[in-house]
Amino acid sequence: MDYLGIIEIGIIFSLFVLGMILSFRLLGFADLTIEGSFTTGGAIFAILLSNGINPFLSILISIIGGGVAGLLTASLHCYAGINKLLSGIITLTMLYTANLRIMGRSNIYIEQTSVLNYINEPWYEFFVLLIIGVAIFILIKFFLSTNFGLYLRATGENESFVKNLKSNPKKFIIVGLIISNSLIALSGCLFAQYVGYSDIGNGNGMLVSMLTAMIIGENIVRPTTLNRQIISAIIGAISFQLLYSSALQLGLKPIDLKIMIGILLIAFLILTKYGYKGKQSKNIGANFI
Amino acid sequence: MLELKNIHISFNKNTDNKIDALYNVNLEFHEHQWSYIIGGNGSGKSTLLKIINKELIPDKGELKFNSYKPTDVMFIDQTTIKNLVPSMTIYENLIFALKNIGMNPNFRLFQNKNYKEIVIDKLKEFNIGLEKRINEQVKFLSGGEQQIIVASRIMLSNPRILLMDEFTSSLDQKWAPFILEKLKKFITVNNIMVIAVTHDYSQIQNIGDRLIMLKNGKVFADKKKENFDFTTQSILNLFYEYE
Amino acid sequence: MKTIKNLSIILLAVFLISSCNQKSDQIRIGVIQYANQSILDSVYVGIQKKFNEYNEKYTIKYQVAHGDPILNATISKQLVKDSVNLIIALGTPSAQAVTNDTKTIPIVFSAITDPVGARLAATMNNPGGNKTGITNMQPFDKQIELIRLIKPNVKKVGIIINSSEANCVAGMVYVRKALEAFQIPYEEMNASSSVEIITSAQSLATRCDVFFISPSNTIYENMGALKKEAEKKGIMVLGGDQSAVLKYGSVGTYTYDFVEMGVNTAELAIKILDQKLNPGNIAVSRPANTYLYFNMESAKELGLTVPDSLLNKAVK
Repeated sequence: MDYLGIIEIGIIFSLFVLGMILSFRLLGFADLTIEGSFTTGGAIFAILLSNGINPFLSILISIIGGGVAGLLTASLHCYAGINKLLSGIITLTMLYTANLRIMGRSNIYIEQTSVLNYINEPWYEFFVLLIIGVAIFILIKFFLSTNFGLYLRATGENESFVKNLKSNPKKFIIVGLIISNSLIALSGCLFAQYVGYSDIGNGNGMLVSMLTAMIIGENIVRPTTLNRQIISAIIGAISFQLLYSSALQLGLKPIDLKIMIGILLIAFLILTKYGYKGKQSKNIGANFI
Repeated sequence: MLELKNIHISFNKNTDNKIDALYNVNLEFHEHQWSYIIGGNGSGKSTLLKIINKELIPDKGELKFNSYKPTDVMFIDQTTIKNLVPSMTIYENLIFALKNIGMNPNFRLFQNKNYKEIVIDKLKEFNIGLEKRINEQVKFLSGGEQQIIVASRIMLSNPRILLMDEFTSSLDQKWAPFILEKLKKFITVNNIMVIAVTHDYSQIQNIGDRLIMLKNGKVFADKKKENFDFTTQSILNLFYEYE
Repeated sequence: MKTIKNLSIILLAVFLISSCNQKSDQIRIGVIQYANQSILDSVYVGIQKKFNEYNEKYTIKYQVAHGDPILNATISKQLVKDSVNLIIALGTPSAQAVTNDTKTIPIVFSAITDPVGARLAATMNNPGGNKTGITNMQPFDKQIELIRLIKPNVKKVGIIINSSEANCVAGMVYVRKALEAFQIPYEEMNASSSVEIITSAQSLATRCDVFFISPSNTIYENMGALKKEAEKKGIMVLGGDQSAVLKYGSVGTYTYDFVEMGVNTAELAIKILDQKLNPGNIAVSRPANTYLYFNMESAKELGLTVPDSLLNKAVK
């Protein structure tokens, strides 16, 4: 088993899960845009890099690209009054075309040296991912530890509470979705670098996979505090990848893997909902299920 | 002074069962005054509070804040947990109430020694040991304890106008007088205007300064403490009169 | 405590699973396939057929990614980690993933329409690095020539393309070149869904007398709809793969046999392993043989006569 590789992919996916925790768990916004912004992150990065743009600048722009997608979904919900799920689906559909237009084709191979393969050694890749991961987690931890973060969490659980504080909940939904989708675009951009290509299908099935990762993480690390909630992202992403690789190693046919993820997700969702002997869950955040 | 002038509002406007929730309501509220609003179901009590809280806009008439700003108003819902964020801790819930600190969503860190002291001092006033449990989630507190957190929120945020929709309706007789007396003392000291809707007439005698009775969206009676006896019996008599 | 317990259960499971891994002296070939598409499946059948001739000299580790990017990356890393002797990659994203993951293990890709465009090969003659393979760029020149041979007085050829598919864009370069070489006028229309295909077909039907099937998956998936529109107006459909002719009434086409393409792929892999060749120096090839297919029923319905000289060459 390639444990280093599992941790590396785990770190990349933990950023995705962290973004999902922000929108799904803390804001209570089941945002379906994320499959699209994952692809967008990779697409923008690949096209910019192959046009000779600096890798760091390319990453930055791909993050902004994800943020724009989040802004669109949030605006559709907040200003056009469209249902949360539907606004996500609308943006997701539009992103499909946008991603194709960005790349100009359905698939780009990343042959240039970029951030992850600047030095062609396994430890280097791991080291860079670790630094990026730790930096992002600290940033998000800081963000959620501010009053703004507190209001954002309150919006997810009790919107009228925020209204009664004479604050506009829309503000927090918009900022929350922008940050969440930016994180997911970053994850997509790192994923594209890691696998060496950006493909229009890169986001396929990511939502359910990462939802499973998030729920697994939450069941291992009961997220009763903000810190635990954040840690659950990394534990969930790595455990998910570990289970995924082991199932494959065991000889489970890849076609059965989808069913396995589905069953796993259902089991953990039921556990999350009813698994506390009828007591209220101690977990923080909104219930989006 | 808060003025409601000639307020009209109706629901289901375009249907046959049009309801006049408030009809030609003229009221003045003053500082230092705890007004109770009573009336039967559908008499327009909650609608009145929502109009003052700017949740509803009247069809006709004028709401004059005079020297007040809309941000001076604090609204307390009748369901206790709706005034709190259930999965947040006591401390986090009370941060929102800290004037100039938590009341606007800025990028200051909320874990801070000074804030903690303010919160702990406030909880100590109630003397039931909540100050030692500030990192517990409010959803696991009892109803009375949750209501104390709501009362602490009111005191910490120190609004100029306080709107309460059946503040103690979900509490048993052990907690209600205790919390109300604490609140009354605070409100008298800080000169806060209170407009409260209630069904529990027993509390009016000790707390209330003024009694407004609504009937079918109209003001039916408006009594001051000086010229009316606020006992439960006399309030009930008022109701019979109205029948 | 509960956290540690949960975590340890997962870790234990993982270790038990990973200890089942067996080793052997056989030559190990890893096959990674991006999705279960009929062409890729046929290619794999051919690969399997060839390796099975060697009586267990080779073991094949075959895994399909089902179009799932995580699975694709995981399978690719796993094959590299297992240090198999050679990797065969079917489908562009899979080939890209393994190319990215290893610079040492020889890679043979197959059924890739445009290896240069996908940056899998620097040039067709000299792919470079540790990889070479077989392209399934169809013999478009021969297909276009068929139009002239079957319908010499063709007015205009209508082609529905999907410009969002890399394969289609790459293939159309050759199609246009061939059409111009044979001096056949043509008109293209873009469609990216079944609904758009129907409207494009209706529009093209008013001006064209031949539909040429472009190398787009969207078209292949919606052959039924295209056929219906063509039948209504009595338009000749031509080109495509074997099933387009046998099932969907395309009059005829030149195409590859994908099982044979798989056999060729396996032969290339065996050659690299036996002679310890550097794949980067071996030119990307096309399958050795092309086959001619006809659908006589369609031809009859349209009142066309297929020259005997062609019929003799046809497989079906």
